[in-house]
Amino acid sequence: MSAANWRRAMNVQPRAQGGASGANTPAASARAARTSRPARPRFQNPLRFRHLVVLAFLIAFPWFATPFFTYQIGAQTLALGLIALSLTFLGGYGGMISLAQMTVAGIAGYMVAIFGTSATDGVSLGWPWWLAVVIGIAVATSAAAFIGWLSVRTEGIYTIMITLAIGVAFYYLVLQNYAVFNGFQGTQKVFPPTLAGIYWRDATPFYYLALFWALAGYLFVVYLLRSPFGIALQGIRDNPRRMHALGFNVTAHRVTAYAVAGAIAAVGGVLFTWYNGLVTPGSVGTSWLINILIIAVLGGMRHPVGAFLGAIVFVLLQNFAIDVIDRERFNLVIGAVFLVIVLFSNDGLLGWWSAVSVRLSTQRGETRWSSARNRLYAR
Amino acid sequence: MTLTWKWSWALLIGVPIVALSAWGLQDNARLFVITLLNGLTLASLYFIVASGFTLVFGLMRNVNLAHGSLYLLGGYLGFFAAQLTGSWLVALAVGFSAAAVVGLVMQVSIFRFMLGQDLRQTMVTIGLSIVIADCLMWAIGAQVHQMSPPAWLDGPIRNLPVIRAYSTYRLSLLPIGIVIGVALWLFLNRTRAGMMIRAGVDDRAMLAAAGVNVNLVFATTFAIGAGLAGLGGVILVLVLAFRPRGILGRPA
Repeated sequence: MSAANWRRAMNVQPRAQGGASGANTPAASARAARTSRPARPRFQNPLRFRHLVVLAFLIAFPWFATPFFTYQIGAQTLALGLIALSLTFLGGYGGMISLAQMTVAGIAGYMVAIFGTSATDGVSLGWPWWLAVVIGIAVATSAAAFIGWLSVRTEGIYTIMITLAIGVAFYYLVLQNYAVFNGFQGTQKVFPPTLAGIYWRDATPFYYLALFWALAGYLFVVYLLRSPFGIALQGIRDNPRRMHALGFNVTAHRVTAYAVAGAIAAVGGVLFTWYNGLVTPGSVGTSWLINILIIAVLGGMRHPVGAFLGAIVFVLLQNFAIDVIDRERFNLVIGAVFLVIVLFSNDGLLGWWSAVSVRLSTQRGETRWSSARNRLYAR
Repeated sequence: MTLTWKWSWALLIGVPIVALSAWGLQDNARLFVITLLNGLTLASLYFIVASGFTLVFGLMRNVNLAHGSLYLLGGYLGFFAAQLTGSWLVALAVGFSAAAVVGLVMQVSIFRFMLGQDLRQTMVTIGLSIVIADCLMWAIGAQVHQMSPPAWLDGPIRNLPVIRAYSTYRLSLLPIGIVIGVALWLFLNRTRAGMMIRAGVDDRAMLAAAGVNVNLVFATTFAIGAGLAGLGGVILVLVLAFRPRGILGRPA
């Protein structure tokens, strides 16, 4: 976060530069008079041409893609990307890598299955879908805040360990509890409702549903990162002791970050449960806990868009690793791709992207330093 | 913490444990002692595997989540060595050295370049553990491997007072774990090499200035830690079923 962005976010104006030295000349005073009214913060339209292209592509995607691509690739990417986005927010901007994001998503999914309708009668209460969804997101967000409250006092690898432990504990809870969670089988046929004459499980409606929430989550995170809370969170990531000395409540900010990330993961979890049509202990098992980390790291954690980039790569590999190599060797392919990216890039695909663009702009005659600086201030 | 606090904590935790143990002993002494021994021997086995991780993480601050893969590798190679030669000791040696060599390669080729980068080490070793587990699965297959212990450790010990009989091999895990623990402590605290390792952890540059090859010291430490994982793998092949799963339980 550059100084300019910081000022914009905090609504602070930089002090008029050179005003004192040049104020005596008539031209300067005229200029000063012209600009003396309290200037509003300069509005910079953040929308670029490439954003419109991507948005147009995303909206048009179901028109030219087969239902398989719309549902299996598109919608799954968006739902998984939304869960990974919560980890990007938490890890990239809060400095806390939590492996329990899939657990939070799974809690939301389980709540929707338990309070809503499913094929498992003994478990589901059959309440209206909207109530189940609201309860699911609320419970998952509180659970995320609780997980955060447990783990904020740890740092680095220990945060990973404690969140992994919480995730594994929840996995065994749902695996062994039959009264509430229906144990190993989980709940089947947890489908989105029919609303306004549209069955939302069909490929195209579900794609647009996922797209809406993915975009909403993305824009929310982008907005939040420029809000005072987001700025303070990044300050805490960089230097918690200094932020504490400045009077910020470090623990409260971190727990809030967990809760916000939990809400995003909960929405993603409801979508992912509807996408799968079921929620089982397997969907909150260790391999999925790690998969979310893999998705977030694959894409890169320096910008929210990385989560969705990682999800695209992950889903494509998951579906087409069969064609590249043996059906059974998906783990080898995803592991090797993950390994190459973490070994040779300091920030996933986004790290490569910025390295490439630095090199390109260097060739255009900028120096390496100036282009790096411009990139820094452009963020 | 004052002494009173310590005592109250000790009482708070100790009294229920003692009471429950007394109840268990009185209720079904045989079951209680067997369960206790099962717990202790399993803990001893986990200690052997985890001691390598502690050596690497506790001393060198090096997060190696691929430790489980090393242990898997040691177990498999030990198993095949035992099948070829029929000797349990050869299996132990092969398991230890194979894991040590792979650990050495990892230290020299990867970890040396990311000192102090906890998260990056975590990511890289998660990736490594996925790849290694899946490669082993590819090469060996998913069937469960188990081998029988050497003749002098096979079968039960009979005529024990309360429990009547207990597996010799399982019981032998307890002294093995204790010996490894004591040997590690002696090595780190009472030998010159252990002193170098501890000094290198405290101040790497100073140790290098004192004329010690720090990279060599750290590589050796890493190799020993990895080797202990392999050793644990070979020992475990005898006790429990063995199939490719990473340390994170990812079914490969």
